[in-house]
Amino acid sequence: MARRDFWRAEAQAAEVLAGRKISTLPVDPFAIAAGEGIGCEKLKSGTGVSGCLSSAGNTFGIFYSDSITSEGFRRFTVAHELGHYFLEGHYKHIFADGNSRHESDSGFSSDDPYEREADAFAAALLMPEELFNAACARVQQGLKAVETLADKCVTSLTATAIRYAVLSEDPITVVCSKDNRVQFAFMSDTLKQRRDLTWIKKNSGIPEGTATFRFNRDPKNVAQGKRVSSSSSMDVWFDCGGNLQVIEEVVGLGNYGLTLTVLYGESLPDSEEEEESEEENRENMLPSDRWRLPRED
Amino acid sequence: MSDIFADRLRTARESRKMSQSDLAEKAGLLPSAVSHFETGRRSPSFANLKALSDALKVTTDYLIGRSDDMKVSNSVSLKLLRHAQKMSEEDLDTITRMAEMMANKQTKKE
Repeated sequence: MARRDFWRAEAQAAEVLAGRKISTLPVDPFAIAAGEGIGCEKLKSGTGVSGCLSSAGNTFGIFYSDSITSEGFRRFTVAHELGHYFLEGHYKHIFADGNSRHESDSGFSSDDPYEREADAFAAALLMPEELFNAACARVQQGLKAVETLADKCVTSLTATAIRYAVLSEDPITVVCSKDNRVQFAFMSDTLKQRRDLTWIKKNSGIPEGTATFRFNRDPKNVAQGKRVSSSSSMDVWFDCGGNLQVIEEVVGLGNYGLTLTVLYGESLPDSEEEEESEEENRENMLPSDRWRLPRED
Repeated sequence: MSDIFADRLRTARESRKMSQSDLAEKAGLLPSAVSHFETGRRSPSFANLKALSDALKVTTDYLIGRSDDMKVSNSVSLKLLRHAQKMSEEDLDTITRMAEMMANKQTKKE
């Protein structure tokens, strides 16, 4: 997903919240749907679909799978469908084949740009940047921070961890894995700006010798929601990452069969890239990044 | 390439003898948004479609080209029956719940 699209989703979610004068956590997507006259109902499980948006005439409905046991995931699914409802141009994608309903599999693993944009909208709606950052400032680092923020936002550990990495100014990486293969990974901007780091790719193997690799070898660890904490170094996870020590915290996500890894460190050593002038940086930025820059007035 | 939504929006607005500003005000949108929709520079969201169709008293299906009728046809029940015969059990469940939502919404209005 292009970062420009994240900007669109962020801006649209902010507009939805501002229009409803929502300024505290947690944000309730069911209440937002109800305010739009959109009913939310459970859908019989068995299809592998987490949620869907339906329309009949001028009436819209959101359905979410009754197999979702996590309140955070349920809310994320509804917020994702609201993304399809509020984001411009999604109707063309959703009802492209003459369907009256669109089935989604929210959860950051889709390669479809519309699904990813709806995921970004859901994250921005449930964890608005300003409120999330304010809450972040009052918590510790790593998995503990993710858990505290997830409680506050009533969001899943995975969605919260991703938002934590995306918005943080610290070097943080979140990796979601299954059977020791990377499902998805998110890095904080501080890391992404380091062009000497190779990014962790989807479907790549979890590096041997890491706590995550050892953890994933026993499926019971994942199923029983066990957790481990260990120290690791950047070059184990990223080629050319140097031997900077990072903390690696790992937790099993139970029935979903997934493992969440949070990597964080205090700071990164300077790289040659950082010698680039501020002006050059600006020129290389996408509009979405410029939008995030502090105002100069 | 012609944009069916842009064409239908202009047609519906003109048939209601509304200016772009009139429509924007009624739909709670900026006049520039209506202009952009009619020239195809911007695509609407479902939320925009709903606001526009409510203001114009047409269906969203008409605006996006899924139906040629501006209003819901009187022979809806026959159409529903015809479609229902081809639906999966899961789709029927969804549509039944949608019908319940719509009926409840109508009851509240009354």
